[in-house]
Formats: sequence, C-alpha cells, structure tokens
Amino acid sequence: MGKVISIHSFRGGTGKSNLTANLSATLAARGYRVGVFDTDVASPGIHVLFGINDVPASASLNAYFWGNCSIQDAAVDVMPALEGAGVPVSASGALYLVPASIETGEIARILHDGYDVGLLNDGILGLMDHYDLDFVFVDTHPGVNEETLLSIAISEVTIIILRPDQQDLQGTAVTIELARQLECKNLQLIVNKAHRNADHAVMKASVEQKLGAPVIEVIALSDDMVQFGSGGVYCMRFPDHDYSQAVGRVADCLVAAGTASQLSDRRVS
Amino acid sequence: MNVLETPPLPKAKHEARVLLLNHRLNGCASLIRGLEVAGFAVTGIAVTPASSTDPVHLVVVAISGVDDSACSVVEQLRQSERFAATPILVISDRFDPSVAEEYLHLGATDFLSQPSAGRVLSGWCERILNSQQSDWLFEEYVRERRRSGAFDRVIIPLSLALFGERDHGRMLETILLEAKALCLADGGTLYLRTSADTLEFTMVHNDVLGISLGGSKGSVTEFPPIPLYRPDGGEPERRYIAAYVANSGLPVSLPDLYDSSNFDLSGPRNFDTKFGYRTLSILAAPLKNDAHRVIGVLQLINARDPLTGEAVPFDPQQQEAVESMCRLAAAGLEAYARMQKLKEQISALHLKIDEAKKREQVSQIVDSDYFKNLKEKARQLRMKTPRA
Repeated sequence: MGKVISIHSFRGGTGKSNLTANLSATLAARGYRVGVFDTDVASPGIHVLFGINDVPASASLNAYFWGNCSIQDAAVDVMPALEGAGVPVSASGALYLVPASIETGEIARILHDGYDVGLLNDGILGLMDHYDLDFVFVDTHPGVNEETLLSIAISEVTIIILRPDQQDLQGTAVTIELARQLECKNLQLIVNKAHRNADHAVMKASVEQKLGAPVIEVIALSDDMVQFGSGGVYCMRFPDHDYSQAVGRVADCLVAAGTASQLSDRRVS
Repeated sequence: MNVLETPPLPKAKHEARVLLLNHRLNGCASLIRGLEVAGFAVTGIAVTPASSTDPVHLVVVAISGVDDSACSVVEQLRQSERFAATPILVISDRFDPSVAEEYLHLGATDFLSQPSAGRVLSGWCERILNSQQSDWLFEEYVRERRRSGAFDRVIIPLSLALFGERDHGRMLETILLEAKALCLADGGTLYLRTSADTLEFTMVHNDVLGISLGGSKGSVTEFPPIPLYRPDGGEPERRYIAAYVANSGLPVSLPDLYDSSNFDLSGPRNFDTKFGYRTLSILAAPLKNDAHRVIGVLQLINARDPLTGEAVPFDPQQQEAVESMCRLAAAGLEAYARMQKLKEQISALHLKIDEAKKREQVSQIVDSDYFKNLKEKARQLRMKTPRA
C-alpha cells in the first residue's frame, strides 16, 4: 500500500502546486509510481505544469465526484511530459494526474455544493490499487475549509508549505493546531520562498521551535523559477538548480521516512 | 623620472636661475653679462656642477670645439637625479654639425653656435625656458585631466555601486580595484578589522604578479591576520604600517619602501624577495565609520606615472582621492552591515506568533459543533481506510 501525502498551505501563492508537481515528477523519474489529485477545485492549475492545457469536463475530478466517470478515466498519464525534458526518466516510474475541471460552471458548482471527501478517499484508494502507486499527492485548496481538513485527516503525511512571513506563520500555526485536533500525527513543514541571503539553518530552527513541527526543507525564492513561470516541471528541465536539489532532498525524506524498503525494489539504480 | 620633482618653473625671467659650466669658451664673460643684463640669475660658473641643491632652471654648457670633458659633463647631468629633467643648452664658438649632433644625442636640449652677443644667448635661453614651461604645463594638464577623469569615472560611480551592492565579496573587490585604478597602482590589500582586534586580509591583488586573492573568491587564507595590540602588555601595535594606520587613524605614504626606517617593513621586503618584485611606494589609508572608528585599512603599492608608466610615489592628490574613497568604502561597508542586521531583525519579526490570537482562532473553530462533526467524519473516514 502506497502513501497518501497532502500538500497544503494556509494561504495561496506559497508555491504549493509547483512543489507538488516537481516532487511527484522527481519521484516518478526515480522509478516510483505516483498519483496526483488536484483538489484545489476552486483554482485548479497543476495540470498546466504537466503540459495539459485543456481538462475535459467529462474526465476530471469533478466528473468523478458527480459520478460521470471512474477515477481511472479521470486520471491522465503525464509521464510523457517528463520524458525528453532533459532528466533521465526511469522506465519503471509512472505519474498519473487527476486534474480538476477548469470550466467556470464546474468550479461554481463544486464551490456551491462542496464534495464528498469519502468519495475522494475511495478515488485515492481506487487509483492506488489500479496503478499500484507508491505515492499519492493531494494538492489541496489553501485555507481550513471542511474538504481540505478532511483531506488532511485521511493522509498519512501532511506537508504544509509556508513563506517566512508573519501572516503565513500565524495561519500555519492555526492549521497545525486544527490538524492535531483532527488527530493528524505526521505533520511536516517546508519553508518556501525564503530570502536567499537568510540563514536557512537558523530559519529552520526558529520555525520548528515556534510551530512545534519538523521543517524538512527551507527553499530559497528563485528568480529563475519566477522567470520560468508555469512553463513546465522545473526540476526536469534544470535538475542541477538549487530548487531542484531542494526538491530532491524532500523526495529523499519522503522515501526514507516511509516504507523505504518496500519502495526501494522499484528503483532503477 | 618624476617631472614633479624638478624645481618650480620661474614665473618671470628674473627668477630664472641659470647654471653656467664653462669649458674654455673665449668671451664667455661677456655672454654672462649679456644674460644678466637680460634678467637671468647666473649662478655657479664652473666646469662641473657643485653639490648645491639650489634650484636651477637651465644649464648652459659653454665649449670650444670638440671637448670630451664637456661631453662627459652633459652625459652625467642627464644621468643625475637633480638635472635629469633640466634643459641643457650647449653653446660653442664654432659651428660643426657633427659636434652639435653628438651633444644632442647625449641629452642636450639645444645647441647654439657662435653666439655673438649676450642678447642672442638670452633670447635663446628664454625660448628654451618657455618651451620647457609649455611642456611642463601640458604634462600637468594631461595629469590633471586624468585625475579629474578618474574622479568622474571612479569616485562617483563607486559611491553608487557601493550603496547598491548586495554581495559583500564584490563590494570589497570594487573598493580595492577602483582605488588601485585611481592611482594606476600595481596592487593593494584590503584589511578589515575583526572583533578579535586583528586586521584580516580580505583581498590581495597585484597586476604585475598576477595575484588575486579574496573578495568574491572567498577568504584569504595565505596570510595570517595582523594583531592590533602587542602580545607583550597589550600596547597598540605601531610597528607595521597597516596596524599603525588602524590604531592611529592616520594615513601613511612612503615614497620608497627601501628608504624608510619608521616601520618594520620586513613583511613587504620578504614579499619582494619571494616574488622577485620591487615595492617602491606604499599608501595606506584608514576606513573610518561614522563614529570615527577604523573598520579597515586600504593599502596600495607602486603608483604608476600616467605618462611614463614608471613606479612613482603616491602624490598628495592621489592620497586625498584615496582617503575620500576610503570614507565612501567605510560608509558602504557600514550600510551593508546595517542592512544585514535589519534583515535579521525583520526576519525575527516575521517569525513571531501571536499565541493569544492563535488560541482564540483555534478555540473558535474547535469549540464549534461544526468542528466536532468534522472530527467525527475524519474518524469515520480513517476507519474505512486500511492506511490510517
């Protein structure tokens, strides 16, 4: 059985979707089988990073929620988007994305009606079973709405991304407290968009001390990333960049923390 | 040769001092009278110049035909430090192009044959002095243009660059390299004062030797820091130039390293021996902050004459410019340090959590029936899945 990992942030703009895309791609390139659920249904966007410009309403996470398609039908194989980007991709790796609909009507409907997190849970389990996935990432909607909190509750690991500023820190502190109330035990933090001149070790220690949760990486704000925009999965294009190296270390942590021995068989050395 | 070392040129003819070296020229006395009547001060009538250091603006060598001793005198004058740049007029009682050519070849400025009257000679002298003055003024003009150009090109852009620079290593590099460029110096060293009261080599550069250490390339590990206080009793260290400058807050300019006994110069002399180099001049200036505390020392070696390229002492204008630059550099480094401190403070400020606010927000949510239901939903979801 694979691991379900929620990638969450209290506020938007933390780089959550970018990190989810890069992290999942890094693991897939290493030979792991990975699924990604875009549950940021109010403002979907991760599909663009995988080179998908159009999400058909009939094959999306929304369609699955309304019972219009199976979860397998909603999942898109995005592995080809990684191949040819410059980084060697392991043949045993797999990457499936379940995108959210980008149609305005669909977004309005799901915002109004909400969705059944039980169905999401079933979808995750179904896809994991169908494709024999090692990791499933849930790219959540920022904030503390019901669906998001429940998504966190059903995940084995929750990674909360924050920027090193007052608002993010305050909001993240509240989110962590709520997650603990929901009995989520494996909470980890990533500080993103830190100043490049800041002492990252000091920042890590300070955030850990104030929030009482481990910081697995402090990632510097990168002008190169900003310039790259949504042009693709950055780590696949620039594997030697500091950002890609940082994402690689996060991937190492996830592999090491969980069922590493079980997963290692898949890796192509 | 440094032209600035020659005596100041006369403002009027009566201030011009002419040294006459007479080598058996008939009628020389009447020529001297003619010069004096014309307003020149003729001094030191002799065969060879006396060892006096009185200023001389023109040397007249009077000869009769080919005279080996006169040739030798002209040659010696040119090789001497005192007369190297002084115009020399050779006067002869007969015209012989080959003789004239020989004297000119040896370094004479001009050759005049058969000066029939003192007035002719004085006119000739006047023309040479005017020409010399024009040359001197032109050279000064060129130097001044280069100096003022250096101010425009270096000082103003430097101040802008220093305050915009965010990379400490590049900032150090800019300070040293621009100061070096300002004086056309061979090289230099930038020391920064440490909290342990030592001067740390942060950058060492020498164009001639191809040495470039520190700055953006990292720290200089080749040279140990210079202590500012003596180990025996803690007195301020004043034996070494950089330590003296740091402790006194005063600049030091040595025209010739090997002609100075005020400091322990074994360090630079050992450096010369090791690298086969010749350090002539040294200029060291303090980097003082707003509180007049010396935070570093900038030391330059071997200024170069902009016209001849020869190693020369640092002139007072260069020293003034380097001192101005050091004030700018100190302000730039202080501003950088303040910015770093501010960043840390901002960073610390950003990492504060208002615990009371957090508790209130959390309790508002978790105490609600909505959240109690949510907890129950979460529990049921986890029960359904084998992962939880």
